[in-house]
Amino acid sequence: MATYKGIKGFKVQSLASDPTVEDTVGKLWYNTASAVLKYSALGGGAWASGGAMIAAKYNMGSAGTQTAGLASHGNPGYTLASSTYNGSSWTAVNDALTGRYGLSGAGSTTAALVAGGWSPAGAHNNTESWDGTNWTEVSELNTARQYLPNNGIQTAALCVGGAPAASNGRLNESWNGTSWTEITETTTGRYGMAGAGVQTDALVFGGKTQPNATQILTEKWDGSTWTEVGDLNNARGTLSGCGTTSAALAYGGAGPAPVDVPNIQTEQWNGASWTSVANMANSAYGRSSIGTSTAALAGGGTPVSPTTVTEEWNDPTYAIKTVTTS
Amino acid sequence: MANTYCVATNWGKGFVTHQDRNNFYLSGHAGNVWAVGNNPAGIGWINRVSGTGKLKAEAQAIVDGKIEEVQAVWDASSAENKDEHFRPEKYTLP
Repeated sequence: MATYKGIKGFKVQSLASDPTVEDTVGKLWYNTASAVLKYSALGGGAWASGGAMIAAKYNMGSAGTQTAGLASHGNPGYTLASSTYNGSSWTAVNDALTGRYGLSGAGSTTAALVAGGWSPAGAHNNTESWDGTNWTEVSELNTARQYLPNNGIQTAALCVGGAPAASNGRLNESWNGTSWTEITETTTGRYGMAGAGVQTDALVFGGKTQPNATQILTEKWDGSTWTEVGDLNNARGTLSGCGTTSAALAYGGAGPAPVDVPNIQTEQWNGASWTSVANMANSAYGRSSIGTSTAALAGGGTPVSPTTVTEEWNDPTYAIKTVTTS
Repeated sequence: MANTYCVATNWGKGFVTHQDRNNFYLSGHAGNVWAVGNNPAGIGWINRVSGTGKLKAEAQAIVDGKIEEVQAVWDASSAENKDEHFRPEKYTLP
């Protein structure tokens, strides 16, 4: 039986102003103020501003997700300051125990682990565990080193590579919740890599083999063996990263050599290769490595001097478009 | 299309939205300088964030000045700091 809508069609909604973009997905409406038809279109990933960090810093420890992130330690000042992000703003939480920067991170805002780093006292082997309220010193790394990627969770993490590359860049230590054990080394010694994935299925990418030798190398860990996989498109060190071995994100950093220019580039990993996607708004290295390949958080970093700027990556994004005729 | 330039302070969440990034080119630089795609959406963003419009030469001078400040600090810093951190170099705004 014919229906009214079948005969007359659907009525396009008239609105005095555009609704929030998140409420418009798949919708068409008539904007009475500007007298145009509008619709919401699916777009690629993009970076947007997030809430500013409490204090400018870079090369921090970091963990968590875009809406529940943790940033600890970092430079300048080999700070102990820690803060959490709720999707809108950063809140100061209890200080860490040992000031340093260039640490590895793992876990979440309620259960995180950071290890290694550097301060004027030298390279650190300290490991600190975060329970959502307080930091506790736990068993030390076997080898003190700095500029380390994020891999794993609080009770099952990796600590891969580190500076100096010649002596420490291939090291790989595994954390079982109680202690670190040296396991199979990576193929190419590097520091300042970014990481993704978990203790038994991880990815490390980028980094430097020497101060002015940024790398595009990506290595995949299956729990027992490292395998070199698809290269980054853009060489850089002290970049940030997050995600898994099948869907990762690389962003920011410094490079390529010989001039360590802060980087705005973002690349997405699909399990086989890296693809360049939308740039960040602000170039920087040493940003937080938080989130997933579809929802990441880049806090702080240093473009020219340390910054509080935070950017949020989302993929996909939606944009309100105007219907045009030609 | 050439970019236009402004100075605006990033207040955080909402300063630049995903929709902004889909609608026009944007890059942030030292001294709160922004290079903005010169289209209606970009101009609308400058108005929304109360940006102060600058000629490219003016914007470039602000960025250069900030970089010179940091270069001076770097030049006076320890050898250890110089090993760990690069000396910022001037560049041309997009």
